[in-house]
Amino acid sequence: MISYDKHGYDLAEEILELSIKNQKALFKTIESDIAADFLPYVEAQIKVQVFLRFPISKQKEIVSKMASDDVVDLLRLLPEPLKNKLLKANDDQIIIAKILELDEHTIGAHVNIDYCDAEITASAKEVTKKLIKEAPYLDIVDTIFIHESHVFKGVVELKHLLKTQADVKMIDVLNHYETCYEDDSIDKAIHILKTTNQKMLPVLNHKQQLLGVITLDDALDLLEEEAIEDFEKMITARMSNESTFVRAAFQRLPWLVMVLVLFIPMLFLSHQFESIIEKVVVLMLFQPLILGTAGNVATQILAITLQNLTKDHSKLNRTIKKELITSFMISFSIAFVALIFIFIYGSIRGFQTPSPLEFSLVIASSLALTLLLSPIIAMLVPITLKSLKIDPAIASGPFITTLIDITAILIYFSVATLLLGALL
Amino acid sequence: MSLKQTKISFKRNPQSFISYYLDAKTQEKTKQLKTLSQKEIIHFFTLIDIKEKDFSYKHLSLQTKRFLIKHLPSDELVQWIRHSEYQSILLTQLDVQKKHHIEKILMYHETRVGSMMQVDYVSINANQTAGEILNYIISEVSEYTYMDVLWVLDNEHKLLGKISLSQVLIARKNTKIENVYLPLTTFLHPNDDITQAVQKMMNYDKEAIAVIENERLVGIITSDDIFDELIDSYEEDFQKLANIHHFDAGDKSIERYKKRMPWLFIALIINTMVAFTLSIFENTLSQVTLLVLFQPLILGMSGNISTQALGITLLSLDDHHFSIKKHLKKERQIGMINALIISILTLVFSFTLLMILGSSTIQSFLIGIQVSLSLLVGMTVATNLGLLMPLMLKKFKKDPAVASGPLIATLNDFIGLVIYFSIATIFLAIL
Repeated sequence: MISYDKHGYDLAEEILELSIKNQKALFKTIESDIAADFLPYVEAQIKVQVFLRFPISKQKEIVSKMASDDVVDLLRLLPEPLKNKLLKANDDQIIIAKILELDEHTIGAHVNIDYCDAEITASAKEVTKKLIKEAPYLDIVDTIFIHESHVFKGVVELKHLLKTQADVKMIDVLNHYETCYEDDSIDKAIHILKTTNQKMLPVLNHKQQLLGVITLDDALDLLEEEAIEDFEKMITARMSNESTFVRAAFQRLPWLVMVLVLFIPMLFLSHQFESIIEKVVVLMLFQPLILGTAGNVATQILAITLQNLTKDHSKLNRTIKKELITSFMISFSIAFVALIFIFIYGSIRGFQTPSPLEFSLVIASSLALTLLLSPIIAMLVPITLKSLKIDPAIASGPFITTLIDITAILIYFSVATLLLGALL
Repeated sequence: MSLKQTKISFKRNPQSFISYYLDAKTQEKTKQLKTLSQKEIIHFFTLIDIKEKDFSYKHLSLQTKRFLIKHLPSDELVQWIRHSEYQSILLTQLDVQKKHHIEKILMYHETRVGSMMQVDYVSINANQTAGEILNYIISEVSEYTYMDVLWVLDNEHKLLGKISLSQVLIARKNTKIENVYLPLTTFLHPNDDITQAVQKMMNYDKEAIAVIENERLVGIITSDDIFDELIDSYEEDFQKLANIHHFDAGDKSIERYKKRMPWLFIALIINTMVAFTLSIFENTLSQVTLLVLFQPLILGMSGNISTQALGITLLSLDDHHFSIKKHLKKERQIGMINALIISILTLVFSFTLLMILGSSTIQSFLIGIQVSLSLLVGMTVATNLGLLMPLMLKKFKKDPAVASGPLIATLNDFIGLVIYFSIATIFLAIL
């Protein structure tokens, strides 16, 4: 027997351990507020399955007891007919329907609407009364949102409200709060919360009306999702709860196949240079060095550019300038060291044609050129994607690596042909 | 211009005030500081970093300094004192009780919960009534104290649970707190690791968690502390994966250069040594120069599949349900399937492409076989490297994310090429 006297998270863990048959039996008798308590802690991938195990009569009741943002999360996952049916049963159906229409990647789609608001002319006493009356149905009680004929003006924290004299008007005590618009990105919202130390972020529509609120705990979840998503894009694989490894494998396969497809132009390109490679076989041995170094540098610049694109938009130009200067310095230093190194290498190996000096010149100048060009590509690609309104993060996949590889191969073998071609 | 700028009001728009302030010269800064009220100074101090705090503090009036030290939230204060140039001066400004608290917090290592906990909280007795509590809060408690949640103690000062301020407000005036509070579901110990605090906050309570020592409440951790912590740790993970450790957006070009140069330099040396070692295959290569065409594919594939395995392992390590055995089994199976599929595809691909490029049927087929066989072995090895490296680092108490570094990538490349060239040499010998 399960004891309900515990936290929703623990309850969810315990209930999910049960067999499906036992779950269904349990769900027939379970109190709907207990269900509303643990359902938000069920992972998104299986939330719908679990929810559908409840008797239909209970489903409505559960939804009515859940916090508005949890309702939106659930409804978004449900099939259309059921979604509409449950929506109709909800008191806030108009506003929830509006939130459901918003793109999941915008902050508006994640707002909580169970807050308390008040007119700017209301007195502290009136607001306190209103709050006490509404509190049982609210999620956000520590902050009251103040508007003037529906235009959002600011907030008053509960602790300040309590300390305010009964007849003081809200206009005299309200605090300015940073806000964002419903169609702003999640990243932007997180950035505001980080830099302001506000506990809430009011989300407005373009008429300056309050749509809903992002609380710090919502933001924690969003932050986790966003960070994992970015990370997953970078490694081109996703954490999956797929039951079978075959399915999980197929999920990751597309990117690997993409590498294969993108490899085709590279192959034709290298083929053009086969005659020089045939004559100077050792060129092959240094191809990994050129490609590897270019790739390493590009990954760094790409990550920095992506971070700047989402967060410190204003500083992008400054970052680009700094990075270009850094790239110049790196390029020349690495080329210089390579010159000395490869010369020693060539001398030990006893190179005849090309001579150690000629060969080290080829490697050093190829390195210098690729190290100058690859950062520029790694910066330009995400910026271009962004201006075309495509998610710049997809650049972190094999696209950029391939582009860099092609550039590096082209530079490397062209330089080799140019410097050594006449000799042979 | 300066006339227009000075009109930026901190009260109306703290963010633009701060960005203006940070770019201003010393003289202008001190001028701007004087425009702030004592209350605004406190808010201002929670928004600027340690260096700026030190600078601004120097320019405050004696009275404001005192007000600031008294009312700045304790977690902010501790952070500041820990890294401030004026540590000893600041400590002497505190009243005895607060100094005692803060010195205790300073003793905890920065990775421990004790170092980030806040001590400005409100604790109440379970016997009190809601009305008494409200009166107490309205008349006695400073508005800078954290009081969205109140902490409920018994007569022996043991922590029983908590109640939100709004619950107290809603309750009838003569309701006893002991009848309405929420019993404790989770708590932390000051010596717990901060990652545990993050985990508990994410799973249980996204408002505030009690920090307990010998059943006594010694501090609280609030969601905004965890929020900052989480942002930092995700950014760090991302940066490690991209090999931009210790990246700081404020760094000048020369600083960036100094930070990145060392390992690029090391990668250069290692790669040259790799080339040196691989030259034992020079004989094979000079006979089958077509092999060079597929070199980038071999390197790219093993690199990609290893990054997938590595990244998923790093993500899974954070999960408290993580079982190494299950993870390894599943990931190895995934790696095997994909290596197999990719090798078969590559065989078809490379055969077709070589035919297009004008090689004979037999040669195309033979090279295709060599390439796809090398991929099969190479990708399998790379998957295992990506899986085992972070786990091994973790076992030796090193940071597992280091496994994404350039040394591992080069090791991957090296192994991939040795396999590729060895297979080619064997083929040459047989035929």
